[in-house]
Amino acid sequence: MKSKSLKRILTLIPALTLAAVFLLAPRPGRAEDGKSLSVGLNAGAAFVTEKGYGHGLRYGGGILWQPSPRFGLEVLFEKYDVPVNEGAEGLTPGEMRTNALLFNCLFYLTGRGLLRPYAIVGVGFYFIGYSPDDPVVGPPELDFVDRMALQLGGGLDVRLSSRLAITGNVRYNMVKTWVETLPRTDPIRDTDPTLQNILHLYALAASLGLKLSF
Amino acid sequence: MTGSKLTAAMIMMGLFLGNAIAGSVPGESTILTSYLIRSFSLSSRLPADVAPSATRVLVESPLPLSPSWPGFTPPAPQARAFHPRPWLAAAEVAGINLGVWAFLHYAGDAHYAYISWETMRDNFRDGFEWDQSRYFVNFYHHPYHGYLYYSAGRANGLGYWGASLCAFGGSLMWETVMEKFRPSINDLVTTTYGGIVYGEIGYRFSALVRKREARGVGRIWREAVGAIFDPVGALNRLLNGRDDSVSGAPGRPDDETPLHGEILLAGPVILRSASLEGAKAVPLVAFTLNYGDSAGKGWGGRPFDLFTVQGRLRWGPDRPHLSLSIAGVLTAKDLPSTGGSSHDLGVYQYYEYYGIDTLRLGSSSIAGGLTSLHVLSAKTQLKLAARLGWLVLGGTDDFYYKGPERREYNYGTGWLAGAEAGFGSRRFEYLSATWRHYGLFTLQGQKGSESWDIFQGQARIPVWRKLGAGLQIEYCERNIKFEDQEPGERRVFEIRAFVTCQF
Repeated sequence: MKSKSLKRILTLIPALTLAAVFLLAPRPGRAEDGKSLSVGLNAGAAFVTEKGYGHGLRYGGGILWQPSPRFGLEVLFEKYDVPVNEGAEGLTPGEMRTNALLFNCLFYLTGRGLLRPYAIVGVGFYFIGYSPDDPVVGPPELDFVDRMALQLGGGLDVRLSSRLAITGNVRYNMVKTWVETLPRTDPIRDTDPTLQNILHLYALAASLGLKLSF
Repeated sequence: MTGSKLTAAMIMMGLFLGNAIAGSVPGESTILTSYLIRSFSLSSRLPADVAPSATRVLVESPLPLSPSWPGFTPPAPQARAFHPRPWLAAAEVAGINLGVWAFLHYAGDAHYAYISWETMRDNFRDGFEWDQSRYFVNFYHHPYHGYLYYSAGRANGLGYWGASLCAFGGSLMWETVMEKFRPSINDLVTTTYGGIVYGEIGYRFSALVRKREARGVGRIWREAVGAIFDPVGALNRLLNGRDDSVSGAPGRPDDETPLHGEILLAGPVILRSASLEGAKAVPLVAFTLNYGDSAGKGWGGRPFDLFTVQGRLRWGPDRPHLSLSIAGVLTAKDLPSTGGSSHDLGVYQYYEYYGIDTLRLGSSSIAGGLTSLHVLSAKTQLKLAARLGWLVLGGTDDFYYKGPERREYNYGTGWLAGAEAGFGSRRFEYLSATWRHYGLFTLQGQKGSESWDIFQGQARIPVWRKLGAGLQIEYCERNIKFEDQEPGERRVFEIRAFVTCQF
């Protein structure tokens, strides 16, 4: 009984603290102040929806340039590793490691204010690796083919001050690729994707982070 | 969702991205406000104690401004002018590419849309090549793609040359990074060149269709038809609000430029060469549109102030054959003339493709020439024109090709010569004739050279008002001199009866 109450209190404390910060945030922090460059760090989870793939921690960081209050261009690096389980097509259990360089457009619904929701449309270059739990010695080695993919999502900036904001977002990374056998003998453009077993490694990436503006 | 709808949605999404940026360009949406503040700032004219409040009232007041202080003369309102938005144009071009790519990759599952950092790196490393796409894709689809890029430039206030840069930049981006294939030199040329021509005539036609005073249903259908000619411009007008009173606003209605032409419907074949097959009642629809005055009068100093579009759809024995010839004036000089006649020396940009039976030719050319309009009597005119120029890039069928690849035509460069004549009286054209000669040296395909001669002539008589009937003759000759083949030629001709409506 005591432990339940303690848990509840422990859950409430961060929520109340966060609410107090929002409500007591200085006025300049709520208004548009013309700062156009921000750096951000964030962390969360990625859920790959293809059968046989799990979810894992994701983290990333990047730079956001806002040429105008309602629009931003973001260059973001993110990384997430998810388990490859039994049932994943063409692979034995192991781990999928993803590094991505993303170029996003952020469309803010409001140009100013404490809460600033936004939509995300962008493309990302995905560099995806695979390591089996029981490594095979020598060839053939399997790996995912790197891809460029579309991503769509949305998020919310909560401005704590003129320089600092908490940002949370959810993105859908739409990676279509296949597993290839290494070593590759020809350039990747000579491989016909229509003859491959295409995997839709679509990942729902949720993250929470901090953004510092200059 | 059908493919075309999805394509449209993707393109709109791309454009929306760009427009979202535009909406936030500082100053863009406040032209009216800044104008009012600038025009009616009274602080320097009023006593110090009343100036701040008076200024505030005037700026904030929604009522008409009528200052009546002694000695105050309101400055003349400045004409509002549209400021070009090159960055937004560039963003829209990139958005179009991303929208098309997303459609091809996710909805169409196109094999060439599987791109990555590696494919881009390889493309830059390996450089340009001649691609293997089909004739219709390279000479019709690619120019349409370029047309969207060009329209994005025009829709954001850029002129012919600025929008041409958009067509080039969009095509370059697509070729180098948006496909897994190596960039294609022929695609870059036809997308850019054809896109410029399609885009400019689409832009001009859309302005002709729109009408400033149109309201209600009339306005809706005019804007809708304008959107067919200039889809990117129409979407920009929709998203940004259309204020046609602003000087130089993109897509502003054009009430002044004349448009004349002819619609022709051909039926029975009277005579034709033995090699031509199929039904003798050949369904054929053709049209000619002359934008601006034909010679000497209509040149306003901007490219494509004068242009001609001639199109034809002929149902051949196996499939429809589409022919299109677009010629626009890039620059012109009026020569001295007497008696109402006019002579016009100009440089013309051509984009053409021609097809009859198995003879097909597509070309991007630039030519110089003279156009003369001789007034023979008060109601009789004779129009003559001659052209000579460079055929930048052309594509012709390669009948000898038996390989496994899809491309069955040669690429070449060479020259273009042509002549046109027309005789009319009382605003009815009785006789018209066009001759074109193309000489091509093969750049890719069968090594060697070839020449084409195409003649089209019409004789008509008026039947009732603007309706007429007549005979049409078409002759096409192709001579080939390929290194690995015997010299050869093919000639076809056809004489058809037709009805026509001139306007």
